[in-house]
Amino acid sequence: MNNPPSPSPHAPDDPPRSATPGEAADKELGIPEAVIVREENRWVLVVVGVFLTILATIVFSAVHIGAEPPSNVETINPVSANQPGSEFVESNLGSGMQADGTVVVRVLAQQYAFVPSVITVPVDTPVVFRATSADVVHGLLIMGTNVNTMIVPGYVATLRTRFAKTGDFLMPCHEFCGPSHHDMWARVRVVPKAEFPFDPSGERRF
Amino acid sequence: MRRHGLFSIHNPWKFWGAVLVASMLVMGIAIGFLWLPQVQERPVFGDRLKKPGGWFASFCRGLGWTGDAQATATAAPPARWASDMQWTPDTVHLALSGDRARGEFVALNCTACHGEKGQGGQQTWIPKLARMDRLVIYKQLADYRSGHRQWGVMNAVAMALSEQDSADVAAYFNSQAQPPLQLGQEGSNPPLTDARFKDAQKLVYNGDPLRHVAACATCHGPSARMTAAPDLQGQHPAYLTRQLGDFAQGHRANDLHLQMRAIASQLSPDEMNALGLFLAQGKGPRDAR
Repeated sequence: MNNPPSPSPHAPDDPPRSATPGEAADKELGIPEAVIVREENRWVLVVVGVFLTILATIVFSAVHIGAEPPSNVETINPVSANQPGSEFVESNLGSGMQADGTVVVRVLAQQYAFVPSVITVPVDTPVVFRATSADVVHGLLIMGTNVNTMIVPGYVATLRTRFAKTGDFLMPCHEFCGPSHHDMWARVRVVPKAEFPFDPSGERRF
Repeated sequence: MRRHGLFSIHNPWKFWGAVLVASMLVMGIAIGFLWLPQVQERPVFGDRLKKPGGWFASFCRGLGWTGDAQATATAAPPARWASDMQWTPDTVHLALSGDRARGEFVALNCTACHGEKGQGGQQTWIPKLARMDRLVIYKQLADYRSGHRQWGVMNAVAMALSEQDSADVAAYFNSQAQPPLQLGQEGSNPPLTDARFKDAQKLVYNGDPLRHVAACATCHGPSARMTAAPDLQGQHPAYLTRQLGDFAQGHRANDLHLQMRAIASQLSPDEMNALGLFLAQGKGPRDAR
């Protein structure tokens, strides 16, 4: 063949080439390869450490704070969500008591308000939040509790919780939803059980 | 110097890198889909649903099939809703398909109150229609027709119009010249002082986060626009103020998701008045007085 012989990686006046690649020096930086390998291995350990830390955080929050995939996958048509026949029709929003004593709270999120803007629930009672969006992705977060989910248009987000103490809780939208996102929040008012009227018919909304 | 190809399994960096990434993936899947759903069957808050055991059930819960579907057939109060309007692609297409020339003929019904070419009539509680968005006119006529918005004359007029008539007349008014901005203090009592001007300006462009009042400009323009939210700049101030009052008291309730009722119920009558005057002037966020 006419190909010229492949050029030597080292100029003749370079230091003599080592017998093993591990001892070869990087041509441009002059760093021994063994040093590079050691540094690379350390960074691999750092990455594994970051991964394990994230994993441990997830496990901790799942076991001790109760974080989990919050919702059963349920779909809904956001265009007709406010029409009669839909669970999220205007008159059905808010808190209502079920026959088993559970309180169901239906929330509609839209640009830029939650409906209803004041959610009243009794203390120390099983509460089910069901929320959907009329337009874009919103977030539902009740400060001081572990209630936290995204509200995605086309889906119903379901959350179960129980409020341990009475008082007013801030419920801001925590997914950026548009230029008035900063104006979007609601109030959750946790009242003593006696102040939340028991309604065996389940027809009243608060 | 490379003794092997980049993706050869004989290259130890690639090989062990792949092994490491794969093991992280396997670990994540095992923890997220198998282990955690099992652990979480222990009640954290006492009211957790009884979840069925089994590895397959765990896997499904990890994917989001929790089986926690709330019965939607629970007792509900009699339905009350804002409007029959559903903005499906077909509806939008129909509302935008109007014939301007035919609309001019339909608009002969409107000039007596809304003025020549929709420029506004003598009565300031009746809106100017020129340049108004086609979807706005279409939706308001539909709501007058179905009775979701109440105003005697308009209910009667709308009932005589078909959906196509509504689209046509919307196309006609949309094509008319922008009515002049209203720089005076018409109907203003008390007058729009500098302080009230600034308050209104702040509500229009920033809203009021402490009262969860969204900024007008983020739905009605110019910052951003919501479907079927009308332009407000240059409108009759008395009309705007009156509509805010009607929304606040629920006399007008045809906003699809209570957007306007939620906002207007937070405003004082004085603010409604100032908002009407400010919007009529069409001032921007940095217009000083």
